[in-house]
Amino acid sequence: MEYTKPLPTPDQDTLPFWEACKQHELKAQKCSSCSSYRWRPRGLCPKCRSWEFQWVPLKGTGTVYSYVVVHHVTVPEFADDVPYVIAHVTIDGTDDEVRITTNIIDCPWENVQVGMRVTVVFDDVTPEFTLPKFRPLK
Amino acid sequence: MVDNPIKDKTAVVGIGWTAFTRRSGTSTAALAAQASLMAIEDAGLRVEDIDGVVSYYHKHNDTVDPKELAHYLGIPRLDYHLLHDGGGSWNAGSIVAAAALVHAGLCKNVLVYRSKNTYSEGRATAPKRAHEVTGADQFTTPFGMHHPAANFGQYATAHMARYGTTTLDFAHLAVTERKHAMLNKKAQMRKPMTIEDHQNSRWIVYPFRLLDCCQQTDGSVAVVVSSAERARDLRHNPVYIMAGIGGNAYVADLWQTYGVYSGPRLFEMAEITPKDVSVAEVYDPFTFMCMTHLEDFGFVPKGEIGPWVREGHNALDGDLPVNTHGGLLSEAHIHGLNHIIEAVQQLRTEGVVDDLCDGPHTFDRSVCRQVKEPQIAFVCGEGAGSAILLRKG
Repeated sequence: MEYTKPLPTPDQDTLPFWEACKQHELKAQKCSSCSSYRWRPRGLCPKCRSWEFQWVPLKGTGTVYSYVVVHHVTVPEFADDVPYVIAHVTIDGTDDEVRITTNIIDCPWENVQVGMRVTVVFDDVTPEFTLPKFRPLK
Repeated sequence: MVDNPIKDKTAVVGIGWTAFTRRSGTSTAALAAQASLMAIEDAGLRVEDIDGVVSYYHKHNDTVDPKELAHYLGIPRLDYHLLHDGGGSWNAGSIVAAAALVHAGLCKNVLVYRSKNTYSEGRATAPKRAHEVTGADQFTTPFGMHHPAANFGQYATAHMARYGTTTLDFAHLAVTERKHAMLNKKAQMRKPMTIEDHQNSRWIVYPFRLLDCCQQTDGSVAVVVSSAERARDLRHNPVYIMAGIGGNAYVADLWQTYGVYSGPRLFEMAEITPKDVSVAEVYDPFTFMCMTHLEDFGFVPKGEIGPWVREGHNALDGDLPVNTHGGLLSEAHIHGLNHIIEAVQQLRTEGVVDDLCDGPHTFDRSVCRQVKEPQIAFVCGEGAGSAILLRKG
């Protein structure tokens, strides 16, 4: 069945993130000058203003920082998914700098909590795009 | 001496509005023109006196352009126009911009308006807009984050986890605002609401139920800003602009907003404290957002907003009456410019003109929504994106 939901439109700053997802790897930029992680992807370090960075692999685990549960459908393509959870997940080992917006899957919405430990699941939604989603860490 | 040369040098001199409906049956240009003519007349000015026009929208332009409106109204001399994309964060910011133009001497009388047909036209375009996923949206929209509640709900959940705030607390805010709207002839929502009504309403996006969410509106609001000196010769008592902030930097934590940084600066510029504020019109697209704004600007200690609204301190005779018109939740969604005109009405000598009082204000809360002897009003925008302090002159 054709995937009709919105897909990312990568730009030069963000394309490496999406390409890594396609390879089932979670990556973020680490500043070559001050070692801070950057999120969302960008050329310039907002802490030390260095343009130098490396894309480094992240641990695939993290903690739910906050979440919501969508019950009301405004975009018809999501009608079969409700209720679904959208969370902000802070990725382990990034000094709380990398906080990704994602879905929490494989978990009843009533059981999702702030502080819950989660691990990444790569969802290959199309041949071009893979979305990093998260499920509870067992 | 605080570095705020603009303090009390400009004033809001005119306010106007249209009916707030679900189907205006007319264009955003006609709505804006109607509200603008009322505001200009209210000030005691002529259309020819307006030489600056300011407006705003959010992300997708849904309104008549300031230059088009000037043409529509027949304004002969337009020295400055500005259309900003800040949406609800920029309700106070639009007034600050007008004040800056007047204080700088670039304009004499600046018209600010917001005009929209969101209910009858805007809602239908939302699913289409969900497919535009560039920039920051590429990290949210593919995961089904479309409804504003899915964005602002994240703040609420973070605050609930940190401070124990509950959806029952949200209910108390919604009910108090509805009580205010019931005393407002132009409010869209005037049916009584109980705590049970709120708690029994369906989830839209947890933690927000239907009655945590503001409505959508067709309508327009307009404001005229002039110099304090000219204001003293115009029709109403001046409502002076004491201080304003028109921007907000990034804040990582979701259990607080930029108000924790801009609030102290705002009050310092006005040389007052939050305790000096008589009435607050606080951006409330969702119940909780109003609540965090009240904490972040220093009206309520951080984490204590739940008990504060349960105790009713935000009611018309409370310590700090909040959203005396009913707010976005129960009056209308005119992107918070309706909050500005409510603040101005409260600070006018004759008080609000569209409550249920027949003649002078009685302060009988079955008919009257005028706050008793207010001197200073506070207004802020979404996410504490802008804020302003107004003083009765």
